[in-house]
This record gives sequence, structure tokens and C-alpha cells, in this order.
Amino acid sequence: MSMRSQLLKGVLEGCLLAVISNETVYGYELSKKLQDQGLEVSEGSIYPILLRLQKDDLIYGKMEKSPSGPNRKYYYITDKGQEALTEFVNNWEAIKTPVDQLMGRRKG
Amino acid sequence: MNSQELIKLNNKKREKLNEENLKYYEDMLVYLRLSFLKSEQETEELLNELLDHLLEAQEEGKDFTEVFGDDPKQYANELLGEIPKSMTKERFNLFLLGSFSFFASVLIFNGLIDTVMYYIFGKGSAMDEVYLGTAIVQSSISLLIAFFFLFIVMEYLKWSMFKNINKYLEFFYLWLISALSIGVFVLPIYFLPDFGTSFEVPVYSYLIAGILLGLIVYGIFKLKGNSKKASRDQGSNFNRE
Repeated sequence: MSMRSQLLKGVLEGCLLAVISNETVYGYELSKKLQDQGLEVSEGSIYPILLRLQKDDLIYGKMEKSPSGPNRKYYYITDKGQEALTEFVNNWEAIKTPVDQLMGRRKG
Repeated sequence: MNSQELIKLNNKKREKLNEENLKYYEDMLVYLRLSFLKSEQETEELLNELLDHLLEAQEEGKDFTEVFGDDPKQYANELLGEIPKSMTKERFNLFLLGSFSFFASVLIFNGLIDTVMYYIFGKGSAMDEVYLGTAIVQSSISLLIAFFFLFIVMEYLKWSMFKNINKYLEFFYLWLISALSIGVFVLPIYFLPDFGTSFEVPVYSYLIAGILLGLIVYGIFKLKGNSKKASRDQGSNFNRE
């Protein structure tokens, strides 16, 4: 499934923020977390988004020693990112039910 | 970690990739590194991150295209679009370093040929007449051509990434680019008239000037390396303490 469209990109951004605000993760771990939730995104598609979130100052990365030894870049959310996440959640809540209903009506 | 350390780490880790993944990854690495107007630190951090991911995926039996998609070039462009640009100061230093290296090599090359010709083979002359105006215009044009040549080669390399180009065809392309640039280099030397005040210098002075300039370049390079070491762990624009 291609995650190219703007809508999916926006949703994916929100999901990354949500995961990172919950716990500190590195890239590979993050893609696994999304897949565990059933989000079928290509693993590589998270990196352009991570770069954008960093550019917008919503998250930041820090090179740290991992338990298994090598240095890894772990991601943390910023205050600005926390605000963006809240806004995303509000927007999502507002849009979720009406969209579901519209799609349901179309099918039914 | 600064970019030099990241590059070293990358070189070591890359050995663990299998043949197929290595081929794709190295194409992407060259492609991203060729975009020299992007922040080096950010680019190397990203390359390291992508390599880590690919290594973990490889252990699960996945290959490059499964992780990063079927169109690596488009993916690389997507990444490049999000990497911050390098700072003006960084770019200016790069330009300065490039210009100095270019003039140093031209001076050493010319000085060496003229000196050897005169003092060993008895050809040419010991003194060279320099016209200041001509020299300045010629140097500026040469520098311009040199940067243009560099630009063309880099664009060619980027274009040829992720493509399987016939080796002979590749050789022909590069030969064509080189022949054309050498031709353009020679043109102003022949057609530029002598003007400006003139003075005579011994031919070996070119050699000396070239070596001095080369030493300056080397000095700047070392200084840059040291200052990077001093600011290590201070991190990049992205990173915070």
C-alpha cells in the first residue's frame, strides 16, 4: 500500500507524534510499533516524515548508546510537538465520526 | 558524534550488508552525499540511521526494496527534500577550499613543468612575463569552468545512480565531458589578449606559490577537523542536549 497521498501523510505524522510522545524510540523500533498496530506502511516511509517533524521542531533526535551497544538516534517530543499532537487529536476526533458515518451510509 | 566519526562508523557497519543490499545502499549513499549543499551532519546522521534499519531488516530476511520501496531514487529525493540546507558560512568555506585547491594544483603543475623543462631539458625560459589583467581574467574564467566541470560531473553521477549503465557507454560519457572541459580551458589561454601592467617572474616561483597555497589549504582542512572535534557532542541543528 502506498502512503503517498497527502491525507495519509498527515495521518501518519500524527501517529508518529503519538508514538514518540508515549515513549522514546529509534527508527526501526518506530516502524515496528506502527506495523504492530496494523498500519501497513512501507518501513522507509517514516524517515522523510521524521525529518520533517524535526525541521518543524516538533521532535528532536539524540544519538545515544543502545542496550545492544551501537549508537542510535532516539527521538523525543518537544513542547511544540505536544501541542501539535493535541491539535491533531482534536481534529481527528472532530472528523472521525462524520467521516465514518458518511462512508457507512455510502456502503449501506 | 560529528560527521567524520559517523562516516567512519558507516564504513565499518556497511561491511555487514549482503551484496544486493550493499549495492542499493551505496547508490543511495553516494546520491545523498553528492548533494553537497545539504548539511553534512544531518546527511550523515540520516545515512547511519537508514543503514541501521537496513541491517536489522536484513536479519529478518528483508531486502532493500522491501524496506525503502521499489523506486530508490524517488525515495532519496523525498529524503533530500527534508534535509536542512547547509549554512552560508559552511558553503562559503567549501567554495574557498575548492578554489584554493584548484589554484594550488594548477600552479604546482605549471610551475613543475616549466621548471623541469628549463632547468633539466634546457627548453623554454627561466623567466615568465605576467600581464596582471590577463592573469586575473584568465584565473577567474578557469575557476568558473572548473566549478562548472565539477557540477556537470556531479549531476552526471546523480543521473546515473540506480541505473545500470553499460561500462563502455559510461566511459564514453566521461571522456566526452573531460575532453570538452579541457577544450574550454584552453580557449581563453589562446584568445585572451595581453593587457594590464606586466612584470617578470622566475618560473619556479609558480611552484613555490602553489606549494604555499597547498599548505594553506591543508592547514584550513586540519583546523576544520580540530574545531569539529572540539565541538563534538555539541550536536547538530536537530539535536539538543
